[in-house]
This record gives sequence, structure tokens and C-alpha cells, in this order.
Amino acid sequence: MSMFTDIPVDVGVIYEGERIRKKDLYVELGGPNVEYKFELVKVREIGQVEDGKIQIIGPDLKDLQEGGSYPFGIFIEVAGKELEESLEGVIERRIHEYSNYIEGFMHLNQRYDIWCRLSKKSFQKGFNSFIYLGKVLERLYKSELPIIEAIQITFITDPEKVKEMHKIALETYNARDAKARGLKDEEVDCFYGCLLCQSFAPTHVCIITPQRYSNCGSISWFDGRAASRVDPKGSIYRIEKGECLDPIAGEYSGVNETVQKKSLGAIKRVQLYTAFGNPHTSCGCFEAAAFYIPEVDGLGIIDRGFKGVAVNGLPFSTIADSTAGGRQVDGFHGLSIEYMRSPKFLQKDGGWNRIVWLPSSLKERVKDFIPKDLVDKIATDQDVKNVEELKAFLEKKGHPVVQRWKAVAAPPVIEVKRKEEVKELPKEVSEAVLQIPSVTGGFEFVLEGVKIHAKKLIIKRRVQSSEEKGS
Amino acid sequence: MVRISISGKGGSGKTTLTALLLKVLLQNNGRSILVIDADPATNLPDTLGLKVEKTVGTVTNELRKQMDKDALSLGVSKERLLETWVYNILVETPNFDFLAMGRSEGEGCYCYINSVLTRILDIIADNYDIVLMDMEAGLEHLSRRTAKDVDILIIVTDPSKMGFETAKRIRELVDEVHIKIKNAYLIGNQFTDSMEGLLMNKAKEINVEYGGFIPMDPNIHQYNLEGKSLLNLPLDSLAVKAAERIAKRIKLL
Repeated sequence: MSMFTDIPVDVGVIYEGERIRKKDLYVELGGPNVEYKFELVKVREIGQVEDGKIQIIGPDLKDLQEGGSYPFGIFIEVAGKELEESLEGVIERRIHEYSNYIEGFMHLNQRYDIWCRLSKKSFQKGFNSFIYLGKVLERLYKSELPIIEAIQITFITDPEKVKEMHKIALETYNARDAKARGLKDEEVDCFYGCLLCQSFAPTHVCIITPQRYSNCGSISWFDGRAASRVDPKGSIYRIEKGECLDPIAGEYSGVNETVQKKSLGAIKRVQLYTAFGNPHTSCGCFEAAAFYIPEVDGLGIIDRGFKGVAVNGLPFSTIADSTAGGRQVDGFHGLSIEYMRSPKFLQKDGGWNRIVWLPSSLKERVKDFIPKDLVDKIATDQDVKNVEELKAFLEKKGHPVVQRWKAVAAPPVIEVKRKEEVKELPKEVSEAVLQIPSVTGGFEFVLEGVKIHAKKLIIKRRVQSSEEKGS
Repeated sequence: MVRISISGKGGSGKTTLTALLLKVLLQNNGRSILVIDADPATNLPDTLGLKVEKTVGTVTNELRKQMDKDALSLGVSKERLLETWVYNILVETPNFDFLAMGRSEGEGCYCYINSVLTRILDIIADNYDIVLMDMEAGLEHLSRRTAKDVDILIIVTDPSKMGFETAKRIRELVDEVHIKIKNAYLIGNQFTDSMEGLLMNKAKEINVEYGGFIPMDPNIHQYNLEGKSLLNLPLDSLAVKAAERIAKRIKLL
């Protein structure tokens, strides 16, 4: 690149991913052998930043002994009319990208865990001062992010100073994390979609928002942003949020569009904050599943790690199979445990006010996020063993769903007259669902505004003939 | 960059052949080499006299655990974190680097972690002239990330029906999963001169090139028994000399 003619080594995208092997190493900055290291970007007022200034506190590259590992800090201050504190994290992450463009320079990780290496070859070519690193960063920042009007960069190798600044950096990261945790879906203009599960759930498009983690619990909105930046055409991609059609149910025009497109028309609408109607599809690796318990008009949640059966007598695997594979099933909802910590958690259905049962181990994990007055009102596997006991428990504890039983003129409570026979029902149904491979077609019942009275309902799989099996 | 993948029935001698080829490569030129032990049993480090404390499996499981505990900062990219952790378990010796895959996938979903891992491993591998991979006994790896774009696929067999059967199945699987493989070779282990004709026929039968064989070598037994690194085998060892012939035959030298 022509803007780097005064830098003794090459600078360019081709050096991204270049690793410096131990035997080729001149010095290591930060990394696992060093306790204190960091990189930090701070937005300052215009006038507080001396544009183009590059400082070194402590020994410069040429004064460091070859082969050693050293404490290291990169401190960048920027100013500009449009710059806000909230952009610090984004700007800071670019240090990784830009410094990796330098031939013979490796940069891994971020924040308080950076790990840099400089190669012997690049040092011998004359890359012997942090000034060069500063110049590269400064020029790339200003050419790629014009929002930055002034930039000054300080490199720190003095161990005491690194330690001192490290503390300040940690405080900044913590403050940023607290803010990130509070980031609302309303505050961003894009979500991220993930298609990683489509190999086995072809109609599944995971919608990842600041307040809705991916079903698998692996991908936050921030991970989505990072991934789509690295590979915009990859399985994790940016979704324009579009118009908000229903703020309570969490329906967005941009989400509906992408879901229709990526599910090839199979799914038309998705409402993000509900288990009913048009809930989010379920992949195959969701961490937990919400399931409707009609007898109490509430939702139970069972997680993958729970080895027992839910209050309705079904284990996780059976409940999971009734919604997995990219299907959208009314009253069933695969979700992540992180989502249970979100203020948007099943918001339309009443949130935690609608949750009536979960395994005690799961309750322990999410306890801090359940409204305090509700914690004891939600039953676990240790409190109740069946739906009848659950009903009594909820009534005794005064769970908010009890109000629903009274509020609804014709209560949706199924009066169980012939207990044994009715109890069998969900089992038969779920087994049937389990055996219909949704991926290869099967069938779908849509019942709307229907009342069914049945003594017993059995759906059985048709026995395949031997020719069919062979095909 | 040349990617060499060594597969075959369990116990057929994949690990031994990997160690021998590495020895020959180290002896003969200054190319940079990454050795990957993709067998969950992780036997290769012992054979090479290395100490490995953590594998890629250990760190991916650790990442998954931290996710479950909600212990990761929201502002830290998991991909960068994992990239660093993987780089941290890379064993860097003066002559070659070594990475153990170990056993991954505990509880929970690994779709995202694996997709990220593929990219991380590719980036690391691209930094070497030669990547030598000791694969697991099963065939699953052929359809997974670790066998993507293989330049040389070596199928090792011992003189047994099962060895040949496995070799045949590996060959079939290569076609089925459409892996890009430039050259495939059948190589025998613990064979004798008189059995070479048979081995060559088998290679022809399953439509791969014949790559040679490693004879029985008392030195190898002795080194294995004593837990000594096969990299220290004397140059005039029968197996080392055979490995050199194989390396030439498969155009590594």
C-alpha cells in the first residue's frame, strides 16, 4: 500500500492470519507468559487529542531483549464530532485487524488478553520501533473510519505503567459490559441471522438480537456482529430489522422477510417474544424448551441437562422432538438459557408470570433473573410430580396464572373426568410426532376455533411395507 | 502448503508412520511443519516424545462450559477467545509445531464452536509448508473439517483382512463425501518383501496408488516399549529407511 512507503515492512490484507512461530520470534508482547497486557480505546473531547502523536512509555522495540516476553499496553485516544463513547469497543477491536496487516506482526485476542509477536525477519528489515506500528494504526484508522478526526497512540512497555493502566482498562471493560448487557432490541437497527443448523433443520433461521440469544446459547448479538464482519456471506449474517410490527410480541418486518426467504417460504412470520401463534422455530440444539400445560394455562420449561421427566410426564427428548427440526409449533418453543435472563423473555405471554414449572437445577441457574416475588411460586421437580399436584401448588402459592383461570369466562382448563385415559393422550401424540420426520415432509394439522371432545385419541404411524423400506 | 492425512484401521500403524514420515521430513529439509494428532486417543505425543497437557477438545469444552455459566464478557468475541486458546495449546518445538485435537463435544451444542474452529484451524494450518495429520480410526473424520482439501491421503494397512477392508471403505467414503484429494496411496505396515505383490494388487483393487511399506523393525518395538521418541531412531533403522523410500515415492522429498 502506497501510504506505507516509509514503513520498513509490507502492510496489507494478505498478512492477516500470519502466525509467528516460536523459532522465528523476535519478541513477544503480552501473551500467556505475561501477567499484565491490554489494549484500550478512549473517546476524548476535540482538542484533548494531539492528532498524529505517538508516544512510547518504557523501552522501545529495539531496546527489548530478543526472545523475551514483555508486558504491553496499547492505548489509543480518539476525537471527532460524531464520536461517542459507545463506539470505543468497536474502534478498539480494529486494533486486531489493522496490526495483523503488518508483515511479521501477529496480534491475537482483545482487551486484557492481547498476545502479539514480532518476527526476527521484520525486525531485521528495520521494524524496530513502536513508532512504525503507531503510524500504521493511525493511517488505517483515519482512512477507514473518517469519523475519527484526531488520534493519538501510546505504547506502554514499562511494567509498572502497564499494571497501572491495566486497572483502568478493566474498569472500562466492565462498564462497557454492563452497558452491553442492558442493550435493548429497540436500540439497534439490525439483528443477526444464523443458518448453521439448516443442515438438519432446513427451515430454521435463528434470529439473534441483543435481548434474544441464539437457541443454542452460543451466539450473542455481539458474536453475530463479529462473525458477519469476518464473513458477511457466511452462515451468520446481518438482518435489517425493518419496521416493528408488534413491540410486545417482537415482530419485525425485516425478520419476517429473511425467515420467509431462508426457509424457502415454509415459515411466514416469527414473533420473537412468545411461545404461541408464530413462535420462533426450534433447531435441534436448543438448550431448553418451553411447553404449554393446558390444564393450568401456563408454560413449563425443561432443559437438556435435566434427566428426569417434566411435570407432564415427558422427558426433554420427547418435548424437544415435538418442535425440533426447524418447525414452528404453537405452544412449544426451543430456547437458550441466556434468553431466560432477558427482560424480553416470552414477554407477550406474561414472561416469568406465565412460567409454572422448571427443573430445580435450572431454577438455580436463572434464579437471579426471576422476579423476587415469583421465585417461590414457580414449582420444580422437587415440589410436584404431576399436573394435578402442580395445580394445587400454584393455587396454594398464589401464582399469577391462577388469576387467568378466573379471568377467562370459559376456562381453558380441561376438566379431567377420565384421568387414566386422558393422561395417555399427550404420550400418544408426542410419540406420533416423534416418528414423523418433519424434514422429509409428513403432514400438518391446523385446527382453529375448534372444540374437540374425545375420550381417547390415538395417532399411529403407518407400518411401512418391506418394498418401501428398501427404497 | 501440502496437507497429508494418514488414516486406516485402528492399530494399523498410523501413528508410527506419522512419526517416521516426520523424522524423514525433519532430516531432509527446512520446510515448516505442523503435526496434528486428530486421533482422540492422542497417542502421537508419546511417540514423538512430547508432553501435551491440553487438546483442542479441552479448550472447546472449556469454552462451552464458560458459555453455560454465563462467565464470558459480552464484549469479548468468542471466536477471538477460542483462537487464542487454541494457539496457546500449540506445542512449539524448535523443528516443528504440534496440535492435539483430543476429544471434543461434551454436553450442549457445538455447531457454532465447530464452525468457528474450522476457520481457526485453517488459518493456523496455512502458516506451514507441510501439515501432517494422524487421523482417528473411525471414518467420520473424512466428512469432517480435519480432512478438508487433502493433498495426500495415506491409507495404512497391516497385513490383515480387516486392514484391507477398512482401506477399501475409506477409499469409497472419499468418493461419497466429495473430498478434494489430489493423491491417495495405500501403504503397508509390518509387511515383508514377499507380501509386497499382494499389497500392490490391493492398491490397484481399490484404485489408489501404491506407496510402499514399512517392514517389521525391532528398533520400533524396543523404542515403543521404553517410551522413547521414534524421532530418535537411528538413521539406518529398517523402518526409517523404508519411510524415506515412501516419502520419495509419494513425492514429499
